[in-house]
Amino acid sequence: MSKPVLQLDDLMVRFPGSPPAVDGLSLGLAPGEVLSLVGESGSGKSTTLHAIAGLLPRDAVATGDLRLDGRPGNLLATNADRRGIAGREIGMIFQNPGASLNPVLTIGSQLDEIVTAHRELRRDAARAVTEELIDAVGLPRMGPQAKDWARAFPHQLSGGQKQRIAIAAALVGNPRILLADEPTTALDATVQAQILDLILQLVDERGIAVMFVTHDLGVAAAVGDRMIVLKDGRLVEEGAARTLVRNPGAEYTRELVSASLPFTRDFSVVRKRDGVSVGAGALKLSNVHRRFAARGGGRVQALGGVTLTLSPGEIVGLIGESGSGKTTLGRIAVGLERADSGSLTLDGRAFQPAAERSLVQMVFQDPLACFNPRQSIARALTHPLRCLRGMGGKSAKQQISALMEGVGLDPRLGKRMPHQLSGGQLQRAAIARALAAQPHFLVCDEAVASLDVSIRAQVLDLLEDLRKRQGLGLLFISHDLGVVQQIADRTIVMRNGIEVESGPTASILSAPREAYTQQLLASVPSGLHPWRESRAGSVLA
Amino acid sequence: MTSHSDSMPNAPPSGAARFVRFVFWRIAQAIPVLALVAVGVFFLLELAEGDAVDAYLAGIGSGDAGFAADLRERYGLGDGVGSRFATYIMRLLVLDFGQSVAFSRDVGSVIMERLPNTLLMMVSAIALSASFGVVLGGLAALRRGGPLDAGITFGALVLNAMPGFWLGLLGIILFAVKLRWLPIGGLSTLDADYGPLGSVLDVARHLILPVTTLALTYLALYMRLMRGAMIDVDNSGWVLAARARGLPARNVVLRHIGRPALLPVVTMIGLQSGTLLGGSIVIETVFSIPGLGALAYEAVNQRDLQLLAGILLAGTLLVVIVNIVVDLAYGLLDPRVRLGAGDAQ
Repeated sequence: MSKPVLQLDDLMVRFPGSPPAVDGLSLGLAPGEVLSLVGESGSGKSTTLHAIAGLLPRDAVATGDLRLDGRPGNLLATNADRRGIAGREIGMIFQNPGASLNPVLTIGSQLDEIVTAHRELRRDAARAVTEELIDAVGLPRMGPQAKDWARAFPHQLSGGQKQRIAIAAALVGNPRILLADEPTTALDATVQAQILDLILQLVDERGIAVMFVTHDLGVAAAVGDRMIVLKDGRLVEEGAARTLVRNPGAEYTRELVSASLPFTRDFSVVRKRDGVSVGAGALKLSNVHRRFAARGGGRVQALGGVTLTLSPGEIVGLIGESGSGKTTLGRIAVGLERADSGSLTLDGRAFQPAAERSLVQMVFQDPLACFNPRQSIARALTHPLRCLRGMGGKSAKQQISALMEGVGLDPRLGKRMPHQLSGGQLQRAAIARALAAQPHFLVCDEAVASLDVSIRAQVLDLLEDLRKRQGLGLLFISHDLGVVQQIADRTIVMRNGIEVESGPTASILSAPREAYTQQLLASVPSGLHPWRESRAGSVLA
Repeated sequence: MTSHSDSMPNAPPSGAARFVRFVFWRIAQAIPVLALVAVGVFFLLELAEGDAVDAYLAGIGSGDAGFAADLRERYGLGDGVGSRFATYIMRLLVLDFGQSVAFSRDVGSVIMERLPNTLLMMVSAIALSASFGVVLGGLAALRRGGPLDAGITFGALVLNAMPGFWLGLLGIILFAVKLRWLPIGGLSTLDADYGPLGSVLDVARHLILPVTTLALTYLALYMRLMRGAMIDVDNSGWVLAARARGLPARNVVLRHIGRPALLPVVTMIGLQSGTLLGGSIVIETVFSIPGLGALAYEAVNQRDLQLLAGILLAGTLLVVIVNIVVDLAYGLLDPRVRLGAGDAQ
């Protein structure tokens, strides 16, 4: 390895009152190298980036030795001279591209400000540099998609466009190092693919070294030259990225790899499902339309005539990017949203979900957000029992214990408040609450998207088990092809409020007929091949 | 009905057209509010015992039944509730506020005489407290947890706990009575001719104590608001990103923390405009300033329906205007709420 541009030794980061967030981490970063840092939440990967960038909160204590090539001194020492580091040596991009831009200033004014700070230019001269940068990150000023980007405000841009602007902002000072903190997590698959392309293009063209933090093993392995696996602030394993995924050395890495469900068209890795019997009494949504008022007047079409049949004992996957209408469809099935036109039937009769709440229940993406923070879990579980089944007192208490056991939770946890449970436990409680109504159907809207991979696997197993034991019909809404591949019998692909194609999951994912589905599949890094190679053969390239 | 046309988004109207439409709609929205206030004033006063004639007779000490009936006849107070209400509303419709019984003068001219005094005092007080509140709150937020923060927060709390009239009285005792630096009360020196510039300075000298007193009582509000908003914004992603991009600290604080944090302050200024009239009664009384607050108080005491209705309608109009201005300012500060999106629906 050539002389590292960044050398970090024995990093320790402590927040008051907790065990060390990062515990003795050492790593080196070569020029032009992409180093992936993977780990589950709480593994210390983001904290490491913040320590390097000097962005830790004031109450955090960081010790260790951080040196940049060609600069004297340890940057982690107290009173270290960090002048000229931020933006000029080290650029950084963040997970939520919307949050990293000031909402009340135009894109141009924010970039101008950084240009004036780093290039010693006056404001009026800065705009030319700004426009060059906007061009360089792939937002065209010429041609059919041309737009005056500099005069736009952040909220007028899409997530992918905002992340491009954030990358432009990081490039102003020509840094040698780019710290990328989950830069594509909040983006749709095809947009993620474009951002990954852009980041790797910067590596090739400018020789920037990238530290790429992500919880997505597939992305980490595809873009990384080397990869570091972190757990509880400690380094578990380090090595060449693809080698590590194919031949994990450490037990934890192996678990992570098997739980990560890297999307693969090889269906031999998917568990065979047996004993799946589709029952009678299907829920049917026919030709459903829904429009919403759009910003600044006008209407947008969320659903333009979608038909969906869900039988008891069946798991139907619904995939699509944001704005495809998949969530609206799920909400209509539960009665949280009404259809403008179209019909809902259950077992052949007209069905109003809002009038018969107990039949279709919902599990949401963020379990912490869907529990009242001031009520215990048991209290939350009494609501559906009381309102939908008229149960109270002792029988409700017994039922709550039974429900919690049914989802693999110790009934004693019922006394706890939502924030005292882990994400996985809480999502189980949310499923128990949905089951309390004794539904025939469950709509899961990105129900495992916010969970770490190991916990995600447990929740998927639970859903699969419930379907088998209780004959539940599941509508499983997800943007994650790996998850859908794992759990769904049938899959529907949606785009712009209409169905693109549908069929058995195996045939949709292994032999898609529609160009859009093919593009969607090609956008997902499997982690087994370098990103640039897999992109070269893709339909998008 | 899903016609073809509503699937096409409307062409975005031009900035000027949107501005006119916005102002037009906001004024149209004010009409029912004004009507409600007008009707409410009439029936509230109707609920109270006695009328303007009773109040007048109580004021002069006596009067026989014939005199009272005569007066009622002259002021049109003898008719039934229904016909008096009809007359009252008909007059308002042609913007005739009528005669004040208590002042024996045109209501409009009485109000216009007092309005500038109150406006001058309240606008300066709110401007002063908002600007000092923003600076002090900002400083406290930047040095949070430190001695400066503790001092500013404690000082604001003490001021907040002190009643305005008491603070005013303390001010009078110290600066007007003991030190004789400032006048005790009133709005200008009587029987004095200082020339145009001199008169302005004279009024300013008279306003120092009342405006400072008012501003100090409002200061805590703005200071705490700004401090909280700054701390909120400081935790946002774009501030972290701005630091990571290597911006000078001054830019981070002013442009990326301070400016977004101004939004709740502007909202509060809009809400406080409602107190432009009422909030100053106490201070106007303490400093003997002939303002609208004192006038409203007299109107209620004298059961002067026409005058009170005039004052309240003027006040409502003022609040509506200030809120339109605040909404426009909000659009300048935060492009996400720029006119359009629902405002004119």
